[in-house]
Amino acid sequence: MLEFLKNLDRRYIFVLIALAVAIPLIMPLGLPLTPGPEAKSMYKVVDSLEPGSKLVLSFDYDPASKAELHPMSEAIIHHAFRKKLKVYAISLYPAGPSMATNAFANMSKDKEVVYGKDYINLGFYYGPNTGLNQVAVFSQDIVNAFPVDERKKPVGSYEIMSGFKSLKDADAVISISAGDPGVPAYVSVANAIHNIKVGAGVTAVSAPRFYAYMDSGQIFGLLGGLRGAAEYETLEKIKGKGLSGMDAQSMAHLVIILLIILSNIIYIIEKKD
Amino acid sequence: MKREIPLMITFFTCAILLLQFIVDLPILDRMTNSINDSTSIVATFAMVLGLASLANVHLNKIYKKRRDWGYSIILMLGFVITLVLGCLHGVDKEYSEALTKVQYEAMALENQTLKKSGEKEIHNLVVKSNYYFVRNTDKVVVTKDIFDHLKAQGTPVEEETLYSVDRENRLFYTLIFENIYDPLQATMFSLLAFFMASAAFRAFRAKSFEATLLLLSAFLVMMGRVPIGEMIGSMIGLNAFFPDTSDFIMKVFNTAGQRAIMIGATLGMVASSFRMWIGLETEHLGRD
Repeated sequence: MLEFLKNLDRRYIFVLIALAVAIPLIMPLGLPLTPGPEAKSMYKVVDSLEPGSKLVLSFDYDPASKAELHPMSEAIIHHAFRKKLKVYAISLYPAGPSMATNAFANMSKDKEVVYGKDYINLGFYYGPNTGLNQVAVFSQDIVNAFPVDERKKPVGSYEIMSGFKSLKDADAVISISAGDPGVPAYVSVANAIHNIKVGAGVTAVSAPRFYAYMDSGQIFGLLGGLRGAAEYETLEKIKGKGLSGMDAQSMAHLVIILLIILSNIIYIIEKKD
Repeated sequence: MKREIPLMITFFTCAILLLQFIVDLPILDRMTNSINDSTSIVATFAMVLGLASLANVHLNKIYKKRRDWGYSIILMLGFVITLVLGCLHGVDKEYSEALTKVQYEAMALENQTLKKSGEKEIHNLVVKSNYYFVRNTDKVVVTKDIFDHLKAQGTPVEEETLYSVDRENRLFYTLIFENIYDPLQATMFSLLAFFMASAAFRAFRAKSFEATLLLLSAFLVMMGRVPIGEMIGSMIGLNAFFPDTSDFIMKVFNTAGQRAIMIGATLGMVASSFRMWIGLETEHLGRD
């Protein structure tokens, strides 16, 4: 038995993980979740914005991180639409505008929001220096960076663009980011130079890096991975993909922890022998 | 001079980019924009070179039937199909096609006929007023408010009606992006969970004091980050133990470590940039 466990074929582990993820997705457990202070802080800032305030959402991710980051984008958009904020989508990733289109399409269903009046997808702006240059341009003149929107129409012709000339006109900027370019560029340029309020939604693997920004007050909120999305959904009182995915993530974590414990028991027995 | 000229270019380019952050001079802004635009153009050429090199490597592999040449065929097919469809239909979910008034009326009539017979309209028609003024033969589009304001001031402004039809980019966006690229990327990322679990089972062992510390922190953070940790905690009478401990580890030890790394890396970057600026670092010129 010990020998079998010691040389356990990785395919058994793969099956265990697949079951741990699939079963809760098919039969949700509905485990309760308490939102953390970082998500609460993010929610509080967005919630405190007056109707008509300008919220910039930067879609800095592509399909590789969609499972983790898209639920948080959707939850924030839901919140913004409910609060009647004006939402501006921009992107530092080439695939970001498609993510924005999808999130807006999902969240604008059954809501009285109009493209060009309540929200707009400005598209992707290429720039060198991993985002720093792009954010520097957005902070000076956003119309110069995006002369036309994602639908290839002049941005000046949209009602929502009236009074929005640069990031400095935004009441808050939230970067939903899978890495670089993303949050660091917004913190380094938009927040540090122009004092623009910046929030961050990042993948779980990169979240540890951004606690330092949260602690120093350079970002007003932090959503980390699927849990961050689930926390925001809990605060917004909606059942999105974040919450439904947390059961699966719980079981996967549990399986990994049990495997680590088992591996250490084997190691201790081996050492004694 | 082969060495001095590139070093002088480096020095002046770096000086402009640095000064632009410190001094508020329009000429510096314009020069910085030009430098950044040049970088974008050079990067675009680099992309073309990269694609040419990729095609060269894989076509060679297919021609010489080297190991796993079948995968190269799939790669080349994906490359060519994506490129062609992208060039033909664009890369956005919807694209707008401009119409003449006659075309618009014909499509509107078709929509009306379908609507009368209880069917769904097939053309997503859009009529829009465009407000603009002309500056140096360029049309400057403005909002209705600005248009009204300029008109009241007596500035010559124009209004035109634009007819268009919005079409869905089914071939590139729906097929290639949504149905192929999107799930493939998600699959690649999801595979990590399986390999991570397997690697944790084989390598995550308390072999030393440091490894034990790492193991304990990982256990506490993993339990604290998922709802089941909260549930298990309350079952054994330690209500918020796992989330609180996880938060403590992240905010204290993790933040301290991350700060050290970030400050160290930034200082290193400043030092190496300065060396490059004043010509002590010449690796970018292709020398040691």
